[in-house]
Amino acid sequence: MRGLLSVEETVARIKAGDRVVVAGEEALLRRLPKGDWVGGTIPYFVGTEGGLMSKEKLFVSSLPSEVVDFVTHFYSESQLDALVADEPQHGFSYLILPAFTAIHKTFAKTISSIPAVYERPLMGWIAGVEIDEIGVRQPKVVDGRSGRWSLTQGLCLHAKLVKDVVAEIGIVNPFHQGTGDVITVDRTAFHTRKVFVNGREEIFADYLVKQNVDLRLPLVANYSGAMINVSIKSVDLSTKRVDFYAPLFPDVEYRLAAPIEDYEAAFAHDITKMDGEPTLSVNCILNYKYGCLKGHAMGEFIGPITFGEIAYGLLNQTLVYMILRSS
Amino acid sequence: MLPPKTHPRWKALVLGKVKGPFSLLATQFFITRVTTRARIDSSAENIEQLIDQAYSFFSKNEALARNDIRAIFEPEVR
Repeated sequence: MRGLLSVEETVARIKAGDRVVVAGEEALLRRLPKGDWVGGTIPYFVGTEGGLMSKEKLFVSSLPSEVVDFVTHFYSESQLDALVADEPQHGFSYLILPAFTAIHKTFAKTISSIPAVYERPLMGWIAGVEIDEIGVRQPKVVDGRSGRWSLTQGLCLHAKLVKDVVAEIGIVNPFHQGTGDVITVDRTAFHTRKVFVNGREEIFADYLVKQNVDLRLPLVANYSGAMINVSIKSVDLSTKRVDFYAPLFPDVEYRLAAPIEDYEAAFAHDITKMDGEPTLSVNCILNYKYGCLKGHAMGEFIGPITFGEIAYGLLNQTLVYMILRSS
Repeated sequence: MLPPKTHPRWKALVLGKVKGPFSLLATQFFITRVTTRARIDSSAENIEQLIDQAYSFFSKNEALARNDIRAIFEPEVR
């Protein structure tokens, strides 16, 4: 079961023993009883009718019956090795990180350097708040078993699966690399002033202005066939600083995304190629903000709309899903 | 059953000489990381470590990564 529920309906499910992942406003999450659930704050969702903001409903995803057992654990930014080491040998891990925190940034910058990170399925999302309340209220995560909240640590649910089922993590990204310049950087960071354009050093803010770039288009890297976005957060022309929603990495070649004429159609096209029904999925606040999700149905790909998606690492402007498959 | 680590395609894989296509997201991330590491440090010791990592990755993901394993070892596996 996945969908938008009232607090009362969610309480009933938890009291009935359902094991659930819950996304919603902090005030609503605080009304839930202790039980087998984990949660994070966010008021944006893709429901069956499409994208919406709600401060009255929670998005509830039941863990499937194939989950034999799960444990939950909080992690600080210095414990990411332990997070990967704790992943079950046969199962999946579901991670929620509070946005704008040290663990959010450290995870994004360093998780790919942990040797075993791609060996076992890891998905999740970045908890947030209403866009107008950024800086006023803080994103949080909560462990329903202990009732413990955190605004600095990540919360991971490590789930064991039955023997003959495996979890596949996948993405749907409507963007592809354009045919323009190759952009590289010389250090890992969420912001930069200089970049290398086809190997020549340039001030990136000036480059973006000169090229009249649509800032809704992400930089896209090709990871052996997977198109991975880094979205532009802001451009300060006075300081020449450009900020991003995920880090740029050295040794990775980025290109600005090819423009998309019909955002929704591009998503729909990729979704129709999927085989299997997602057990869990999350989508990006930028896809909501830039217009393609609000009020537009996404088939079975319902779930929270988040401040960043996790599929082994931090992604932007991407739909992340998990499908259980027979092995 | 995966070919042993001594199979020459393991080395070709980490050196970026196997172009796929790869379909599993985890494979795509993994291949990108090991080929980047091999480009930065192509010493025999590092290549051996990367082959160990590749073998471990595909051992743990054999069920999901069947098509990717075929893409690497074709025509031996196919």
